[in-house]
Amino acid sequence: MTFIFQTKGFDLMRSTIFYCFILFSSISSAQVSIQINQHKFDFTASPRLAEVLSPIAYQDNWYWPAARLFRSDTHEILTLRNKVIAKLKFMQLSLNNDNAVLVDELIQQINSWQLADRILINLDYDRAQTNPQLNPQFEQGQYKLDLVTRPTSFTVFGLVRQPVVIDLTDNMCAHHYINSAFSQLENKDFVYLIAADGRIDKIGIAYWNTGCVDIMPGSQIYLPLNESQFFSDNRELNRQIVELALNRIM
Amino acid sequence: MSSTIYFLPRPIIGSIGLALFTASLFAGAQELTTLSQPSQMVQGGVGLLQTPTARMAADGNLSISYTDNEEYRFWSATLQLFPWMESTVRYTDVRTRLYSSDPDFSGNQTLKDKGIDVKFRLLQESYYLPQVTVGFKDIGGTGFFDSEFITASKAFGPLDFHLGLGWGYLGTGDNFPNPFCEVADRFCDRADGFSGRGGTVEFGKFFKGNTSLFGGVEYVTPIEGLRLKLEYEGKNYINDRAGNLAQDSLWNIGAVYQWKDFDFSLNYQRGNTIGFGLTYKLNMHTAKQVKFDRPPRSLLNTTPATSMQELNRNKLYNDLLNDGGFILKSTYQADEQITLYGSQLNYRNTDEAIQRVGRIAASELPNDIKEYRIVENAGSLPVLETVIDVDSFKAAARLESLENDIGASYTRRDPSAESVANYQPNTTSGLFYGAESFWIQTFGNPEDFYLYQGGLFITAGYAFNSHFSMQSSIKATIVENFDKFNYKVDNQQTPLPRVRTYAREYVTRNKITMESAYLSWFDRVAENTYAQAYAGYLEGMFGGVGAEILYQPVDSNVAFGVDLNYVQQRSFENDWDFRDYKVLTGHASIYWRPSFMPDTQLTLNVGQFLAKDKGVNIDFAKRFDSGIIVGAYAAFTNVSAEEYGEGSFTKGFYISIPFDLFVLESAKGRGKIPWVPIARDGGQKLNRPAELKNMTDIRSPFYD
Repeated sequence: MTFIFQTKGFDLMRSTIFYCFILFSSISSAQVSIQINQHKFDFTASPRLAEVLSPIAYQDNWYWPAARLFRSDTHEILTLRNKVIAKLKFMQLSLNNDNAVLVDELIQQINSWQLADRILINLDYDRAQTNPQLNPQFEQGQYKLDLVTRPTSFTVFGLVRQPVVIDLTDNMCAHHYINSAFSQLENKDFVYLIAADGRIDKIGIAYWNTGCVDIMPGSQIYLPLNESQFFSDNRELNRQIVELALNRIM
Repeated sequence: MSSTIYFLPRPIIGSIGLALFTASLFAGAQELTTLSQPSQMVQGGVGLLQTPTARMAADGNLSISYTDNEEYRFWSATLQLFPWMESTVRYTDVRTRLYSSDPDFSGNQTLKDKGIDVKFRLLQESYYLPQVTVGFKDIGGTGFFDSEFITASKAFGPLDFHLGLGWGYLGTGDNFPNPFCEVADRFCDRADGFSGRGGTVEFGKFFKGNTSLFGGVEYVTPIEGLRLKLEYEGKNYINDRAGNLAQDSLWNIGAVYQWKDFDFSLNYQRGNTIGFGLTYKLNMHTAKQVKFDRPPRSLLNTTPATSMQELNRNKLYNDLLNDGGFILKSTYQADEQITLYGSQLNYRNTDEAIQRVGRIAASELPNDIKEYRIVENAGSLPVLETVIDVDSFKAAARLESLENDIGASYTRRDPSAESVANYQPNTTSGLFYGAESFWIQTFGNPEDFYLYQGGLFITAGYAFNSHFSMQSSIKATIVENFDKFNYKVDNQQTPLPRVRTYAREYVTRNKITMESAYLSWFDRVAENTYAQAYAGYLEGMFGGVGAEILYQPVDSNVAFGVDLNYVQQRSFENDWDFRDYKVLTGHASIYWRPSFMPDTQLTLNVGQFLAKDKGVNIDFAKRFDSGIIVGAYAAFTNVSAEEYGEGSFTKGFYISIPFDLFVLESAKGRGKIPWVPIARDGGQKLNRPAELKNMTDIRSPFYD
């Protein structure tokens, strides 16, 4: 197993040599290549998670629950986006002006997202080292791993004029954040909480169904379409939008 | 509080199907409410005190309550069968009345009654609308409290407001005009008493007669676990079963303290009566037991045998038994494939069972074997085959990709002709023996409320080969209070032959009786088709001959079978004689698991029953995530309610509990507790010594 380590800040000459070396290696034998933040790593033999994370694990105080791993060589999620946009556009045809504008906002938000096929596994260097069940092997392919230090906010998107970033320092329950930030909500009863680590919850925000829910830093909240008890179309569409949001490159 | 819909660390199916992915993310979504688990009414069922509300407990919740209210005591069990359906069974003790006026019949036992309630959710709560339910109380009983109601509930933070309309017992106060009476005259009056011989659902009474408005409010206090209730009831107590009860106020108040799995309740009813009660709650989906099993074998650092000659067969046998719960009977090897024949003894979950066996095999068998076939037996007959593709199984077990689906590396199927032909165990004949405990209980008897008999069935037999065997069961009673019986067979006039109503004679003849002694044959007769035949003393009350055939494809939602038996009634004076009565009884059966209602099974048996009556027995069973199965059955035949006698038709309920929930290591095996409100002679099936559906259950597990 060999891997090439590339950083910024080398002088041009060495960089050039390195680039050539990398190019050569990539063509010849790299099986797994992964971009971790700004760094690119190549492995000739399939590495396990701990090995992949070890070069950068202690470089900074990473907040592992908010780490996101994607495949760079597949694009299946884009098909879902096209489907969802088509459904939303179809829905717009039967809406009044105000609602059509909101759905338009949602379509624009979804279109603006950078999407990639996310791999929802437990990403934690310490756990991967101690528990073999949390240390799977990377199969051949190209990957992208985004690591962040602990975020201090969460984002809200959906049937709202502008997506918003809300600060978490007030330590409030989820429904308090939502109700104090938004006075007019299309769906007054529920929002979808898409936690940073991929967990999804449907939480109550109305006067009749709230309990205190904590928001994990780096999460997203989706202000959804109204769902009917008897027809499942909007529920299906909401779930698909949540799935798209899960696969966002933040 | 939030409810988890999907939690991360579980490896998921990868890019194969986004649709599948979406489904797995949202499996089991539950809506939220502010309030913690809603509490029970005095008579059982979710509600305030004497009035029901539109709230439902969590799906799968079972609440068992005892409440004491001066004139009445109630024992009830309420099960949330589906998120939209609640059912309650209740026994009532009327302290101020005697069971009967005849001391020789019932001594000084007080009056008892049983009742069944159901409630259905019509509308879920939303921003502008309340939650709405419709309910039916005391259906199918003799109507102490029979009522129908429609309720609505709306929450505002810690306050929950309820309003309802009640008919029947709940409507005795008559404080509201009956809206149905405004529409059609026939709803204005309600008939008294009950039709037939009791025990039928009185559809003709629904929503008729006097109507009352009732309501209340519930407050979840800041003190954790404490809630307060205030209720306005629309009943009067003039014609109550316990007599004319004084009602000083239409307002009732109460408090409930919820601590762990218990609810303690205290209330003040009618302005003059103190009541109290205790409820125990458990959830049939989440109930489980801590297990001390060894973890499934890891394949990361194993050194399998280098060749079949080097294989340590004893170690393989022992490891399969100890770590995999699999008792190996025989093996067969050809080229790169090995077949293991045996039975799974411990692990109920078929995935866990196969993965354990696969891991043990992969860590010990040589690497040049590329396919494992695990063949499971019923008795000595192969009934199920699971084919494991070794390379993909090992890759998934070793986590050789980021998203591993180990389940995709094996498939279940009907045993192949090859596997059946190559099954050459060392012995298929030999003695076998076993013991099973039994517990018979009946409630609401005149002599004493609770009568019981418990003991062992001791079975011994001899298998001639894998198809023929003979066996006998002895019933040995160890504890009982059946000696309290004041009478044996009832003195009701019945036109039906007494095929089951001599029950008391049979169970009290002797402490040791021969329950069964018969020859049997069992074989696979065609693809996915099994047959059996038996002759001898088949059950406690009947002996004769019979046969059954069943078509049950592997993992299929539907199975069909036919059984035919010619039997004669056994004597209750000794173990070997017969009475004169003979009957040809048999049924065509269909077993169906509808895909729109997962984890349920509907069974229909159409044919001729023991009393020569013809009709259908319908059985509906629901399986909860913990493995607990709750079921109900009823038989509808050409016997009228008058001819049948008390209860009008045969019906019963049962709960089947896996032993696994009580022991610290994984175990198969179940205990079935029946509750039969009434069983007389109509709609009675023969208790056949074995049923093919149960023998081949592993092909399409419901009873795991």
